Amino acid sequence: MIDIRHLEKSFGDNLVLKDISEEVHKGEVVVVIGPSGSGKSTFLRCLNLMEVPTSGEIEFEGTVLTNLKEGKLNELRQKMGMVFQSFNLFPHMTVLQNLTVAPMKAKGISQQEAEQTAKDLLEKVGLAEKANAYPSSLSGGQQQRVAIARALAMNPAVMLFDEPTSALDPEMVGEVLKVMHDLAKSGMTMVVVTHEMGFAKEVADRVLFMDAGVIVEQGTPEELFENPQNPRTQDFLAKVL
Amino acid sequence: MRKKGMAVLFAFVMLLQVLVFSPMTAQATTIEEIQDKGTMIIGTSADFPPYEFHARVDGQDKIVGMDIFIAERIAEELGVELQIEDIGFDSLLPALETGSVDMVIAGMSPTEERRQSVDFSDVYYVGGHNLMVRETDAEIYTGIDSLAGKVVGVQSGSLQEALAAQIPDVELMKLTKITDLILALKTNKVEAIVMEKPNAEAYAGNNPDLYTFDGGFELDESEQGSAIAFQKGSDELVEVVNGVLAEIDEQGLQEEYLAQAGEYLNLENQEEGSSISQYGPYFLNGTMNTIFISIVSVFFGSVLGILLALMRLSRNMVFRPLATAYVEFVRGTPMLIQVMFIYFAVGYLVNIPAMLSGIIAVSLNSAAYICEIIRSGLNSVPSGQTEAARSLGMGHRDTMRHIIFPQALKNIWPALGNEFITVIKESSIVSIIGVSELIFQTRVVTSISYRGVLPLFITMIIYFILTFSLTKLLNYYEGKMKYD
Repeated sequence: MIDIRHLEKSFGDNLVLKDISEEVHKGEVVVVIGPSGSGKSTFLRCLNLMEVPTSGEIEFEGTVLTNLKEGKLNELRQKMGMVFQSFNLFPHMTVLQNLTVAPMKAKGISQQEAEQTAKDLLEKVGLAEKANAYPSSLSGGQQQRVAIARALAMNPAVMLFDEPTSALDPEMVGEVLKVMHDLAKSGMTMVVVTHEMGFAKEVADRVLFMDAGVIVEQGTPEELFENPQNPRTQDFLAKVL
Repeated sequence: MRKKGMAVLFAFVMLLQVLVFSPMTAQATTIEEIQDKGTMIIGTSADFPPYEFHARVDGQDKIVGMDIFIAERIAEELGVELQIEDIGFDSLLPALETGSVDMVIAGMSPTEERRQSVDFSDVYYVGGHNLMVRETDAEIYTGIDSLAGKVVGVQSGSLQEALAAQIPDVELMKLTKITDLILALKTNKVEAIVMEKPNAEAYAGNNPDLYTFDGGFELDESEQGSAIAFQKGSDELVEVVNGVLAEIDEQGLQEEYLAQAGEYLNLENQEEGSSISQYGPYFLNGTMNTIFISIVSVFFGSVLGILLALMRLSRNMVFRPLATAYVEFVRGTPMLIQVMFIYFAVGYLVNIPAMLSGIIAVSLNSAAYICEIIRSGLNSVPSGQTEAARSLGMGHRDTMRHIIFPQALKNIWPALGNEFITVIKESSIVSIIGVSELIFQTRVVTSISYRGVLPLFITMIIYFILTFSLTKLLNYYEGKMKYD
C-alpha cells in the first residue's frame, strides 16, 4: 500500500534519514521504535509529505506522492489520517466542528452527513457527550481520542500515529491505546511511532527498530523483542524493557 | 538573510529610480487650461486677516479678505469659477510648483529668493511690517532694539522670518499658522511677533490685549508689498492678471476691499461676546471628517494590509521582497512627509483633491502597520494547526480561511483596534494640506473667535470621547471572541 524507495531526508547538513526502502501492506500494523533522535518521527512524517523528502520516492496506492501537484496531493492526504503527539485540535471549534470541517471543506460532504459520521465516530471513541464542548475543556486523553476520530472522519485507508501517547499523563495513556487497539482489530492499516512497547508486542504485525536514520532491524514482535540480533537493538531494548 | 536584504535593496532602488527620473515640476498652467476646466484654483493660507481669513457668512464658513476679492475679480475676467485651497503658508509654493493650484494669493512678498522658483505679478498692495506685542508690554518694547536677545515669533517661510533677523541676538520661534503665533504671544511663549501691517492691525483691533506698531525694519524696495505667484513661464497668465491689478489700482479698490474685509472682522467681533457653542458646527464638521477619514483609511488600510501580509508570507521571490520593502520604507519615514508627498507629487500626475490625497496617504501608511499586525497574528498560530489541517487533506486556502485566520483574529483584533485609535489621532496630520478635519477646524475656530485655549480643550475632549468609546466597543467584541 505504501512503498518507500531510497528515502533520504536532511535538515541542512544533518542527514536524518539514510536511504530507507520499506513497504507497508494493506491491513498491516507496523510499529516503529527506536531512541529519540533516531529519525522515526521524520520517517513517519515523510509518508504523507508533512516533510518533503530530500530524495527518494513515496508511492501510495500506486501513485508516486513526491513531485505531485498540490491539489492531487491534498486528495491523497485525505486517505492518510495522521495523529500528532500534541493533538493539534482546532481550539476555536467545538469537538463536533473539529470532526466535520475537513470532510465538508475538503471533500464537499454535506453538513448533515458529516455530522452524522462525526457523531458515530465520537460514539466509537467514547466521547459522544462531548460533541459540543471546546477542546480546552477536555483532558489530554480525551483530546487525543477526538484527534483520532477527526482523522477517521475522512475515512482514510491508512492511519499514521506520531507518538500519540507521549504528551499524556500516565493514567490517560490506556484510554488512547484502547482506541488504537480497537482500530487495529477492525483491520485498519496503521503505522505507529511509539515508546509503548506493550502496545507494540500486543498489536503490531511487524516492528521496525530505527537508529541513526536507518532501519537497523525488523521482524514480528516475538522475533524482535525475544531474540534481537543487532547489538544496538539489544542495547535499546535492555534500557526500555 | 543576506539574499533577502539584497532583494529589499533592489526593490528600493527601483522605487527611487522611478521617482528621480520622473520630472517633478509640472508644465505651467495656461489660460486655456484654466478656461477648459472652468475653475481657477488659488492657494492661500487663510489665517491672515485682512488678506484672507475664515468668517461666518449667514452661518456658513467662508474664506474672505482682500486677496479673495482680488481673486474673484481675476476669475471673473477669465470667465471661470473660483476655487480656494486653504494650505499652510510654507506649503503654498510646493503646491504651486506641482500644479495642485493655479496661483498663490496669500499676501506674499516677491522676494529674490522666491523669484528663483516662481513668477510674480505686479505688487498690488504695500503694507509694511509691524511688531505685535502684548498690551501690557507696550511701554517696554518700543522698537527693534528693545527686543534684543528676546524670543520673537514669525510665520515660517514668510518674509518676516528674514526681517526678524534685524533684531539683535534674536531667538526666533517659527510657526506655520498666525493663529498659533498669537496664542504663543498671549501665553508668554514669545515676546513679540513680526507681522504684515494690515494683518497685525486686524488682529490688534480684535484683541484688546494686543498692541501693534511699525517695526521700522530696513527693507529692499523690490521686496516690499504683496504680489500673486505663478508657476515659472506663465507669462500669458501674468499679463492678464497684471491687467486686472492695474484696473484695481486705478480705481483705488484696495482700500474698499480692506474696508469690506474689516466689516467681516467686526461682524465676528460683535458676536465674540457670546458663547463658544456657536462654533459647534465647525467642531461637528471636523469630527465627522476625522471619523470619515479614519474609517475609510482603516478599511482600505486593512484590505491592502492583508494583501501585503500575504505577500510577505508567500514564498514568491518578487512579491515578498516588494512587500517587505514597502513596509520597511513606510514605517521608516514620517507620516507628515508621506501626506505632503502624496498631495504634491502625486497631485502633479493627476490632480486629486486634498481630502482624497489625505485618505490615500493615511491608508497607505496604515496598511504597512496593519500588514505587520496581521503577519504577527498569523505567525502566532502554532504550526501544528497548519499541519493538522494539511494532514486532513485541506488545501492551503481552506487551511488559511477556516483554521489559521479565525485563530489569528483573536490576536489581530486588539492590535487592529489600537491601530484604529492611532489613525483617529494621527489623521490630524492631513490638516497640513488643508483637509478640514478636526484639527483644521479647531484652527479655524481659533482664528475666527480669537480664542486660543478653549478650542484646543474642546478638541482634546472630542478626541478622547472618540478613542475611548472605540476602546470600549472593541473590548466588547474582544470579549465575545473568547472561546476558552
